[in-house]
Amino acid sequence: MNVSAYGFNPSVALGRNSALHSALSAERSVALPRAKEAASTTKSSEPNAFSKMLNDVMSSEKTADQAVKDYAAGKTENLHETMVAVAKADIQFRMLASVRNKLVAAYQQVSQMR
Amino acid sequence: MSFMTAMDIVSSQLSATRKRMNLTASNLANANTTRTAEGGPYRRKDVVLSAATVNSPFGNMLHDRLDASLRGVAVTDVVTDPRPPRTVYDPTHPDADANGIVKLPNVNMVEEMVDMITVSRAYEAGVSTLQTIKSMAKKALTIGK
Repeated sequence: MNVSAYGFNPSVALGRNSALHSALSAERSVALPRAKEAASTTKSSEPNAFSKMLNDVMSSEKTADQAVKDYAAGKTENLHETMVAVAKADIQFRMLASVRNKLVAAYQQVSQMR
Repeated sequence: MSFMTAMDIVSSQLSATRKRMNLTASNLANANTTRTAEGGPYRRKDVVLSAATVNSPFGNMLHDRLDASLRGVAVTDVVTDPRPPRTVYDPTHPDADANGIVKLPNVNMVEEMVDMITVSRAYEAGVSTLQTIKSMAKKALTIGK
């Protein structure tokens, strides 16, 4: 999985939370089979939407990483494009993290019903 | 995704501003250049800016009517300043004509410095827009907390 590579990634130095990343990669490995299951049985779209969002965030993080790598390699013409890519990935990641926190909070609420 | 669209617009502005800065640097560097490939002294260059559609990967799918009217900025052309070159009497200069007149570039140092400040402020404005967009997005995310 690509997320595991982030430990050695320059974008970590730009304010990415690697602990949250590994937590999310664990979440994803749970969410993906669950998504298939949900699609085939219960028709619930929630885990599906989450893993789709996760894929979107992953792709924009990849774009940001590529931009940072290009900058480090001296291939970038415009520094601000790198920073904009990183800022976009940052905002999308925050969004993902807050959705994930909501999901976990909802799960905990349900698990305490007894 | 409108936050992202705004970021793309600002990004286009920053690119255009950087190109203007490159031209200012070129003009200042060649303020006393008497020989060019085209012959004669260097001539001052300026940009032509035009409104351009923003093409973000998200924008293609989510173009509503409002998004379609949004425009970024692009440098479409570099034009040469038509003003005549400065003439200075200096018979010892290797590029002086028979009357001892040297044609120097039509670059006005003061004008270029003012341009440079304008460009620098425009870039700062773009960066502040970006930071405002970012903080708006972050504020929006605190709604969920």
